Amino acid sequence: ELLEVLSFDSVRRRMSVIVRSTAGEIYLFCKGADSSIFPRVIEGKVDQIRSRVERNAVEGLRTLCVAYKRLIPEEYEGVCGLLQAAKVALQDREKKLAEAYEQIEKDLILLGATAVEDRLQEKAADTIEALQKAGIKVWVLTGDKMETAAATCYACRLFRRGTQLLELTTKRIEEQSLHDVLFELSKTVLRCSGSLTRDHFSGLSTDMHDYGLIIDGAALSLIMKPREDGSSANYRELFLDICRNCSAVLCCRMAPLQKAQIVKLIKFSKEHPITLAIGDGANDVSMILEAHVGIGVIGKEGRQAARNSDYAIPKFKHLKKMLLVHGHFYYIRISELVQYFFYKNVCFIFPQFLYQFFCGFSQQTLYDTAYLTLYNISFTSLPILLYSLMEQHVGVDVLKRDPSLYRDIAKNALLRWRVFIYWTFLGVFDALVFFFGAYFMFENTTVTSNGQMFGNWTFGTLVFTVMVFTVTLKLALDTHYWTWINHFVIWGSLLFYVVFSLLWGGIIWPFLSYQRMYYVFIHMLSCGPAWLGILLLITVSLLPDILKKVLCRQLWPTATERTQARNQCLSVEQPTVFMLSQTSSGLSF
Amino acid sequence: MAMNCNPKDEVDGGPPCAPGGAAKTRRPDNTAFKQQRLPAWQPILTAGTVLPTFFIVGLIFIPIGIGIFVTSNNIREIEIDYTGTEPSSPCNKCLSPNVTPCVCTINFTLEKAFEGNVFMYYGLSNFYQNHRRYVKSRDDSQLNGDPSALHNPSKECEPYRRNEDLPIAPCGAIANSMFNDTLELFLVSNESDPTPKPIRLQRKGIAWWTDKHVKFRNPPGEGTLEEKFKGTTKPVNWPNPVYMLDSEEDNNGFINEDLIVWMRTAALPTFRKLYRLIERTDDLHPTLPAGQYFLNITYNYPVHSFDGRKRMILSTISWMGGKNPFLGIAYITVGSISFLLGVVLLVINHKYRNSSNTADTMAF
Repeated sequence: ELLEVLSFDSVRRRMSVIVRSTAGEIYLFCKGADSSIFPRVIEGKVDQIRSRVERNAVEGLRTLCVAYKRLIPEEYEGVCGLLQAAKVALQDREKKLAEAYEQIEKDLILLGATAVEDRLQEKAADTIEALQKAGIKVWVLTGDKMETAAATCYACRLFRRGTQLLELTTKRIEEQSLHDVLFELSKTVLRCSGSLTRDHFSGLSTDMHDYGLIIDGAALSLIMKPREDGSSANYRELFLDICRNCSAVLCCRMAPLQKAQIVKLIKFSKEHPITLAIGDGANDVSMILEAHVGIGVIGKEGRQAARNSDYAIPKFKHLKKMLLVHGHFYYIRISELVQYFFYKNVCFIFPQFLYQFFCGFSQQTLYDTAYLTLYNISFTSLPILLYSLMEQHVGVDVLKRDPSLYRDIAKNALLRWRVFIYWTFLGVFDALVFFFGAYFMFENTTVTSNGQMFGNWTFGTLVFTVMVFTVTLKLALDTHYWTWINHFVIWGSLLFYVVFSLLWGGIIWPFLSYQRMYYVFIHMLSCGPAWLGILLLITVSLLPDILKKVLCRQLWPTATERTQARNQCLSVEQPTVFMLSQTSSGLSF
Repeated sequence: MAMNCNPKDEVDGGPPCAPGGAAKTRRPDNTAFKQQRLPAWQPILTAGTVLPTFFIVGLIFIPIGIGIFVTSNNIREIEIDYTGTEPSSPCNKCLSPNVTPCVCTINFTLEKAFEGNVFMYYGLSNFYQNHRRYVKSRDDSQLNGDPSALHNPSKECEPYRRNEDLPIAPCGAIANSMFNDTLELFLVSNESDPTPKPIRLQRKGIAWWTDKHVKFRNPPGEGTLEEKFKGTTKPVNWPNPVYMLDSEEDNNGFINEDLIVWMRTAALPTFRKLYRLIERTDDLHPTLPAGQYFLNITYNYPVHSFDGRKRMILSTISWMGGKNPFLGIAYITVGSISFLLGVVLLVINHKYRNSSNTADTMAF
């Protein structure tokens, strides 16, 4: 019969139940981590079990120790009373409960230990390797003991055979002071970092020193503890320096709040990296909430983590496709969306601004109000919308196969100042071309074959037409994945613009109070130089961007571009490649 | 990685499985559209694909540019400024005239004959027809012949909307500032009779066909034009009301072509507008033979108060319009730049391909 439950909490790492047997005797059974049971044990085969537990941990099994104690009825009454008082306390309930538990769970008799093989999920090792190849630093934060966690890390290939393990554990800190340990470690890693290239391909070069750091919760709390002499900031800096040069970090014996603490530490370190936390249990919730992206694995341990996360996945292996394929695609799409929006609006408004210099700064608009309103709504909205839903600059299987492509977009590469300034520059250049191209064409002369003159609305319509075509064709040049939908929206938008203009200017609309656009578009298209001008201005606007793309692809290709070229080559020239390799190998002999 | 948590923590938030039947799955369909596996064309912009384009662009643009440039060079044009601000100009006396209307004459010489149709323009400088408040100061429904708008012009025309309690027709600042100089052209023949021969100037055909026949209409009704415009008054700065702009009925009232041309506001502060056509006589004689001409100006339109300038332009027209070397030069420039870039890219491509080939062979 179950009398009481002293529930589990991650600080004391054990739980107990009080039961009454059929014979009427009262027992207290306690199970928990070995570090929290052994100190409270007064008899039992302590050494034997301790060594057994160590061996199990090294093999990677999760260990628990079980102990018990017999309670006489008076003791039970006392225990009941304590618990009752603590449970209904109005203030400091947690503390009172902890004290009560502390008092009750002592003088236990060791029963034995259990070991559970917590198997790694399928393809976990594959996923971690892929993430490391992609340039993502992988840290493992666990509440397990050091030996178990290290064994698990070897199993999932976080630490490889050549990885040199550095320890920042309580054991070492007891031997030397924290200061010395930190200094020694930093010297070890920094010695080799000078000879390393900036981003070493982990796993591909065997002669580089591969460091792995192991730190446990107690050491971390020592580092994080605020000190009076202000040296804690130095320790944190040192610690982060060491971490930066290690390919993998294992933090064991972490309490849930410490997991969040370490995520916070990294978030606010010098480079402000983007952090992602993935976990499946309730003790991962704080770190999931703290990180930039929190992912919960819907697992056997319940849905607490999934409920608190930004994204929930059923298995750990899905993280690979999520980051390397979906994440990569979304980043490409959204960066193009943002840059393109600024670009097309610079192209739109800058000629208006330039016109002010020629209209006496009276805010006369260059384009008709219908064009002003519909530019961003109808003429240029659908192409970029469908681009940002459908674009795949390289194929899905290529991205899965080659995680190093992820490095091309690391550190927010496509939304940096440099890229943004390029797009803005391009927008300004295009706007200057549109406006001054039309200006010099219109200046002081007629362009029709019957000598009649155009007015300001024709001027604006010419600029607008060139602009709509240019920005749409620019997007067409940037699109790498042309489905029928892309064709439909891009050519359809242009067609819609032409049809709209013809209709808008083709009829005297009764609801309009002005008729200034009547026949303007059609008349503009009926003169030869307008067509020639449109063709010329579109070409001049797109030329620099094409040139830049081609030159950069030729002279400084990124890994993504090389993959695209290779795929194109392979799909076209398969037999030639084989022949070449045979001939060249023949030549070398 | 937690120690064995209490299972009572787990509260199932998801939908419970229906006993026996299949639970409603929220999995998206495995179609090509929803899983983004649509068949697609995947082009990449390599040097190989772009090089031919550069060369083609160069090869197409350069001849076009040359053609346009040559055409533009063959167009004859002459500009006569007659503002009269310089004391030596014949029109200086019209700046502050003692007698109105002031008439002045400017002599000029045509070096070469003008063949084909010749177009006569008047040009203004520093005149901002594209000022915002100027551009909106008109009533298109009144000009379209709408009787209600005729007697009740739109508020946009303020302050040129009503005068002495009568609505102004046509209302607005654009109509009010209509150009009213009269220009006449005379040829001084070198032969025996020294009397100057007037050149015949066509008044019709200077405005857009759609403007004259659709957009601008006289108010409906029976009777003369004067009766149709009863109850309105002329714009403040006009000498005559709108129904006295021309003697011919189909060029009078709102459909007067000079008015229509003026109402089409120009894009830039220096502009020209079509004034008259000089039709070609026959193919044997040039329309305007080389020689001495003089231009008779009835100077009504004052521009010196805002530092404006006035001029008369005579020009022939080709299929590409008036004399404008810009398009030709631009095409030639862009064509040659494109060709040059093509050559540069070819060189780079060649060198890069060579170097990558050597790298491949060395790797083996």
